[in-house]
Parts: sequence; structure tokens; C-alpha cells
Amino acid sequence: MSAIRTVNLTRTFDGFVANDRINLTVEPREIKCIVGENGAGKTTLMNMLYGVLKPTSGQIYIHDEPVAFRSPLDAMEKHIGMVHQHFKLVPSLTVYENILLGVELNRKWRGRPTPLIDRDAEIQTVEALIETYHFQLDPREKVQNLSVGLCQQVEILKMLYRNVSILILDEPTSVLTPQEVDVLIRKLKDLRDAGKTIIVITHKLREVMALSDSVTVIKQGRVVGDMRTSQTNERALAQMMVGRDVVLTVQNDGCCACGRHPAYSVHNLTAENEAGKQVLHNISFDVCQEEILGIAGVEGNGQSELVKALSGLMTVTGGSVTLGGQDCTNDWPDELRRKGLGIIPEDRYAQGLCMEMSIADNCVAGHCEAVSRFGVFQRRKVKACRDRYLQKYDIRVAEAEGTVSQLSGGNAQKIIVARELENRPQVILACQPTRGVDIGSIEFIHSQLLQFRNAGNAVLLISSELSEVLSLSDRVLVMYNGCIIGTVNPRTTTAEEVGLLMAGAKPSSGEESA
Amino acid sequence: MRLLGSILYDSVYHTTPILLCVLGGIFAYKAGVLNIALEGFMLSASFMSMLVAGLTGSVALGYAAAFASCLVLWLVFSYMGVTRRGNVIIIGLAINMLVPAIAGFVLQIMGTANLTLPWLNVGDMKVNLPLIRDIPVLGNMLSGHPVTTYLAFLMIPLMGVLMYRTRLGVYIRVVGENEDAARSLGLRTDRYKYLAVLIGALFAAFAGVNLSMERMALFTNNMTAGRGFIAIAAIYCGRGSPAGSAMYAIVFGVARALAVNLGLFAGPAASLIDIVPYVVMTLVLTMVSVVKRRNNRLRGFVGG
Repeated sequence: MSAIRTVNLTRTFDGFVANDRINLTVEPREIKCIVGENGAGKTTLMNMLYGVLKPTSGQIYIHDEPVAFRSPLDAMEKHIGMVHQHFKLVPSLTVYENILLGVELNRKWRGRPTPLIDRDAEIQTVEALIETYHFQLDPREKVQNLSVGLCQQVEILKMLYRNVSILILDEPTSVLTPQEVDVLIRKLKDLRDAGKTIIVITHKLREVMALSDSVTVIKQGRVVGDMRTSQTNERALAQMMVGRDVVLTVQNDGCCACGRHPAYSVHNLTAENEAGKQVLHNISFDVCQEEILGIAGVEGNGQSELVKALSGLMTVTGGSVTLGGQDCTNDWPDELRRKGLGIIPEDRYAQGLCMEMSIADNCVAGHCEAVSRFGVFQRRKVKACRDRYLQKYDIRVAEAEGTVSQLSGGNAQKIIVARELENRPQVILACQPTRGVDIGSIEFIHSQLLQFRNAGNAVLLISSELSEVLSLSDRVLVMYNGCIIGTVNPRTTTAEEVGLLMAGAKPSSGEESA
Repeated sequence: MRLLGSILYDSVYHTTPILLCVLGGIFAYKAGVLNIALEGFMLSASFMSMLVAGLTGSVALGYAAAFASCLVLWLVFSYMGVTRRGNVIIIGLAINMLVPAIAGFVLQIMGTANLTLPWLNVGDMKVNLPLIRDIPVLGNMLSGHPVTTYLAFLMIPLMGVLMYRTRLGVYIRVVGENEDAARSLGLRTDRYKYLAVLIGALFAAFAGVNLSMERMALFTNNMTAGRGFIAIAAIYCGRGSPAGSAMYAIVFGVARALAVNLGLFAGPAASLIDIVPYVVMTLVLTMVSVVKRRNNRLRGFVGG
């Protein structure tokens, strides 16, 4: 008997086949990892198992019983629960209110339920639940005050309260510190031993090896591998995922030239958020010529604010920023670009591209002087610029005259990289440069950044992907709670050391913070 | 002393319709489908109650007609805005323009500028509270209002309970804050949006009847005079909390009472005094948003 079995499960979107005859079997009481690149169809598959999407054809069996889910409600009835990558929590409500959302306990009056919610009973119930599964949470805390790791625990508890026997987790480790990942892995194994079946979607192969009992590899909507974890290794999985040999570590022949010439200096930068709370505390660092300076940290520790302050989207309350000797504190983005800063923004669709405009227009966005005369665009020059980028950066487009919204994440990101690098900045501010991008494009963007550095320029790399920061950077700063809590040498450091810093533990050796 | 007494009485009197709109409107605000058509809902209730009461000679049927008209508008607004995912601001605007147009059309056909109920003595609608009416100053202020007024003030704590202590209130807030969370647990989010708008429609019906039939037994077109928008301003300022928004409703009610009473002494400048409530509203809105945005250091329209 299997917990979940799918037979020739297929889902198409407007003729595009997202899942092609998937045959998947998940045994009861096992941890199954489903790996694949971005866009391989993992999430589509899970959404079908959870009733969010209906299959185009094929059949799902839960405990050998054929099912046809119309909504997540049906899936929950069959004791399937899902923890989404983006948590489905309500920030202004407390932990207990979130866990019991939809199944509130009502106050009783003479044995009959009243319309009023019984807060005390709810808190007690949730406390008991937390106790049962050995979580550490205060049920009365509001979710908006919780760290990402704890929010995830709330999500898991929400499912456990609903008595799920099959738990699906979508990219659960993408926002956690290495230590939190270890905790999560331990928790999931405990749950498996307690009789739950667990499916984890991920693209992090190290965690697949540490966590799972069996693993299924999906590529372009098809199952390309299905095996016991003990019979495979990271390299073989990566090869299956991409379809060719991949270099898991970046070729970075470091030429750490720190201390030569600071190309970009940030001195005692402070900033406040809307509520007047200080979110950046005296941030200081130099990025030297021929250096990639990485900034690591768990998301939400001030990196976003730092990026906004440095890229001119937010004014700072104190400190200064210097670029090539010129002061550029609180400059607007166009001034920053003129002074030689290239910006690869955090969210490519919110700040980097205009999805509904043409590829050509996006290629010249922010750098319009070169392609216009008397303030009027010269279409010929704009198109020439686009064609040059498409060719040089190997950007695959179906329709060169089309809009950016038709491109995959990787190709869209390459347009930004092309635009920013081709305008010859001295410093590149690269924020999450490879988030949600396929492996081929990741390799390409990484090599472009290294090439840019080797040409004598400076790169400030801000990424929540720890392996990216460690493999590309010449020096790594760790941010915690709006401060730079420590500096590490990526060549010699360990994941444990960085993880401790990311969790806010001060280095015992008293290493000087930059 | 007479003046003070009359300002106090009028404060309660003028707060009532605004307060009713606010207490109903906060639910739609919290559910993320802000109903700017409160003005139109209210006017249709004012009009229909007077029209039907005038034609049938029954106050009860007047009430029924007011509620029926608001229910129709509720269905139109919710179907377009929730089920069909239309822009609620545009739909609200359309209703606000449609209602006075229809009312004006009917008045035109009837060949009259306003509707009156000569047989209805407004004084009969008022409740004189025993004991309380004998308290000096306060008695004058609290006694002698229609039942609806007392209900409106009683509703402030009741709406607080409904919003924070019952499933309906929790779900309405969740739907507005993170609809995905609600949907992932199988809550029918559209249903809660409909219900949120419905609460507003029922309260607006009360407000409309209060405005025309209960107070003066008189309807003139556009007699709501922006009270629905003042209510929306109060909802915004109070961020949708029942007590906070009600407080702003009272501020605007007092402003109108001042305008009406001081206008009596202003002679030719009386109409100038009429703008007081609107000036107060503009100032309060400006101040509240200055305070809200004071620490905002993001440039442009980042993050709304």
C-alpha cells in the first residue's frame, strides 16, 4: 500500500505541458524529496496533490483510493496538509488564532455553543499541541513578531492540528539559517517516526541527502529519476536535474585585493522604517576594486533596507556613501547610475523591469540618453541595443518584439544583467542576482560577475542564498538585526560559523567587524 | 446656555447617520472591499422610505422599502465587485451617481421638489427617556432622540465584539489581510466579502431612514450631503477599529452641530459656516495621514 500514487498525471496550461505523465509513488512513513530546477513542474505537481489545480488527465490515489480533489478542502479531508513556500499566515493575529483559523473553539453556555470565541480554551489547546510535538512557541505572540523559522513552525502546527497524515512542504529551507535547517530536518524526521508521511520539494541537494528516504527528480515536467536516497549522491542528482554535468562550485580563482583602492565606501549608515524603528545600525564597509564583497544573512535582517538605501529608493537618517571618491548619499537612482553604479535589484519585476513593455524598451531603461536625440527615442538604436544584448548574453526569446512578461525568470534576469553591465559601471550592486533562475542562467550570471570583477571593478553581492555568497565572494559580511555582526573569509569558513553569525551569535574569537 | 444645550443635542443628532455608516462600513473596509457607495445606499434608503411611506401611508412599509433598496444595491455592488472582481471604487462611484439620478427622475415625474409626510408627526418618533431627561444639560442632550440614535450608540461595543470576538469578524479581517491564508484553509472568502458589505448596507439603510423619515419626515434630493464620504474619512482615520472610527464619527458630528448652530448667528455668512464640517474633515484627514507617513523614508510609491 502506498500513501500517494499518481498514474500518468498530466497538466497543461494553454498547450504548455507543465506535468507530463507523472508516475509518482510515496510510501507511508517515508520522507520523499522531489527535486528539480525552477520551472521543472514541482509546484504544479504539488498543487494537483493538494487540490489547488485540477489534473488535465491521469489519476491520483491516496492510500490506494482514487480521488478527485476540487479544492484544498477535499485534500485536507483526506488528511493531506501543505506548508507553502510563502506562508499563509495572518500577521496581525496571534499564533493560536492562526493555528485555529477556520476551526475556532466557541464559548459554551449551558452546554450550548455561543457565537463568541473562547480564547482561554484556544490558548490551552494550542499549548497542548506545542507540548505534544516539542515545539518552542508562545501561543499568545502575534505572528508579525516571529522570525521566519518560527512562522514555519506555526504553519506546520496548523497542519498537525488538522491531523494530517501526509505533509507537503514547498521549499521549506529557502529562508532558514543552517542551524534552523538542522532543527527542521530533525523535526521532520521525528514526525516521520511518529507515523507521518512527508513530501519535501526542494532544489538544495545537500538537504535532500541529509533528510530524505527516497527522492524523485523532475525535469521539464517529466520524472527522470526515482531512487532511494542511499543509492545516489549530490552529483548524480544534479546531473539528472540539469541533464548535463554541472559545476557545483564556481570557478573562483580568488585575487583578493582588499585594501587596494576602495571603490565604494559605506560609512556609519543608519536608516529607520515607517514606524520610526531603526532598521540599519551604523553599517560601514568598503568594497575594493577587483573585489566581490558578499553580504549574507537570513532574510529580513536589514538587507532589503540596505539595498533600498544604497539604490536610492529610501533616504537614510545618517552616515554617508561614497562611490569612486564622489559622495552619493541619498542620491536618486539616475544620479547613482551617472556616477557609475550598476543596480541589479532585489525583485526583478518590481524594480528591475517593466513586464508589459517591450524587451527593447527594457534594455535601455534608465540609460536613455545614449539612444535618444532631442529627447526622442531613435527606434533603430534601441533595437540595435536589444539585439546586441540578446546575442552577447544568450538571452532566449521566442519573439524579439515581444514583452518581458513572455520571458522565463532566467532570461528576464539576464536582460537586467546585460543592461547594467553594458553601461560600464565601476561598481555593481547585485541583490539576489539568481533568485528563481534556472541553473544554466545561474552559472552564466555568476561568470559574468566574476569577469566584471576581474576587469578591475567592484561588486557588492547581497543574497540570502548562502552557497552563492560563499562561493562568489572574496570577503563576506554577515548581517543580523540591522547590524553587521561579523566578517568571515569564505575560503576558510564553515557553514556552522556563518550559521551562528546569521542567528545572531557573536563570534567568540572577537573577530573585528568591518 | 440655550445655545450650548442645542449644540450638544445637535451633536448627537448629527452624529447618528455618520456613526451608523461608520459602524457598518468598517467591515467592508477590513475585508478589503471598501464601500464608497455608502452615500448612495443611504440616499436610496432615505428616498425609498419616504416614497413608499407616502404612497402607502405606512411607516413600517417605508422601513421595509429602505432595507429592500439597500439589499438590491448590496447585490449589485457585491456581484460586480466581489464575484466579477470589478474595481470597487468605480462601482461605488457609479452607484453614488445613479441613486440621485433615479430619485431626481421620480421627483420630476411626480412634479415635486421634495417628498413630505404631512400625516406623520416627527415628535412621535422621539423617545423621551424618563429620569435622564430631568438631568440638567445632559438630559436635554441625551433625551428626545429616535430609537435609531440610541441603537447606533449601543452598536459601538456590539460591533467591537462582532469584529474581534466572533468567527465572522475574525474571518472578515483575515480575508482583508491575507486572502490566501483564508482560502488555503477552505474559507469561502467571497462569502465573507459579501457579508461584510451586507453589514454596511443594513446600517446605511438605518442611517438613510433616520436622515429623512425619522428626523423631519422630509426628503429632498442629495440630502445626504456627503455624509457617506465623511463616514469613509472616519473609517480611514480610525483604521477600521469600531471604537476609533466611531470617535472620528463623533468629531464630525460635533463639527456639523457647531456649523448649524453658529450659522444662526452668522447672518449672511451662514452658508460659509456650512463648510465647517468639510474643513474639519479635510484637516483631520491631512493630520492623520501626516502622522501615519511621518516616518516614511521610501521614495516614490514603493509598496503603496
